[in-house]
Amino acid sequence: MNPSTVDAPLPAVLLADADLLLRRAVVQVADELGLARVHGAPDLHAAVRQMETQPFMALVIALDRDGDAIDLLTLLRCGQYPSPAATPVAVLTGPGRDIDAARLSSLGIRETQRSPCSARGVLDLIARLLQQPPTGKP
Amino acid sequence: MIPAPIPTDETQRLDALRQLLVLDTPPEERFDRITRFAAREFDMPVALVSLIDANRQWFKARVGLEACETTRDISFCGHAIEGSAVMVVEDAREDPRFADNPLVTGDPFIRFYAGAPLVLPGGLSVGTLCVIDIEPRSFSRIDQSILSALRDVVVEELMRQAAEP
Repeated sequence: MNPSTVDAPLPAVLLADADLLLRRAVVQVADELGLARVHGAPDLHAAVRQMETQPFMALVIALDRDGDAIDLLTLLRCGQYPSPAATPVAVLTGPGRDIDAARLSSLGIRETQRSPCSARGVLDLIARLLQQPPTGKP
Repeated sequence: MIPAPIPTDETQRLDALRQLLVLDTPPEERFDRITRFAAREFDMPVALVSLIDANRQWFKARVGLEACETTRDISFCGHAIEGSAVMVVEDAREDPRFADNPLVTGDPFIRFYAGAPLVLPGGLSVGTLCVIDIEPRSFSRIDQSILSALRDVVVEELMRQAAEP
């Protein structure tokens, strides 16, 4: 992790995951490190609301059983949100929340992490996403 | 061993602790999940929400420890509440405050300790969120920030409990 040392605005990142403690730790520590301004969303409805109101430089989204997260990412790649269609994305997977690698690849998602995730792991993930060139396929 | 010191604001500190109405209450999921998260996050065998009472430290939530309290004089947390920053002891055998502490020389054979003081909005410290290992460890700046973030959630829950009718 290579925290920013200049006073430029921190890049906005969306973290959508149901775990309050994970969100709290990542939001607070990313800000302290000067890594990112992480916006936490407890569910996909909240994530969609945030996606509709502002652009993000990176997304970390927990997959759900109903496929709503994939729908959100599909709309992102179609340019339906203020964020660039090619915004780097990582997904968090877990029991009953896995999807096939080909589907992830078709959405330009190269980073996955299995839940339960550590805050440190998600912070490292965000740092990697912010260093990546846009990888999505609009 | 250097016994846990008594802070200069001890009377006010104990008043604040008692006003939380949390001592000797049953385990609660909202605190238990924080210790479970901390133990998993840092891969530590023990994680505690420890409250420093007049003569004991009492654990509101605990992972990996059978005891629900110890005497205050031998507590690591009693030292940690002296400051507001995370207290880290990488190897208790090398620290004169703890080298001959019975929690180090005997069960549970503490080697590593990191504790974030539970500082209430008024500035009084009532306990810690801490993690413990039986092996010497290091604890990075990022680890300390994560522990502090979890500590903030513990303090919020304590204050919420105190505010409930």
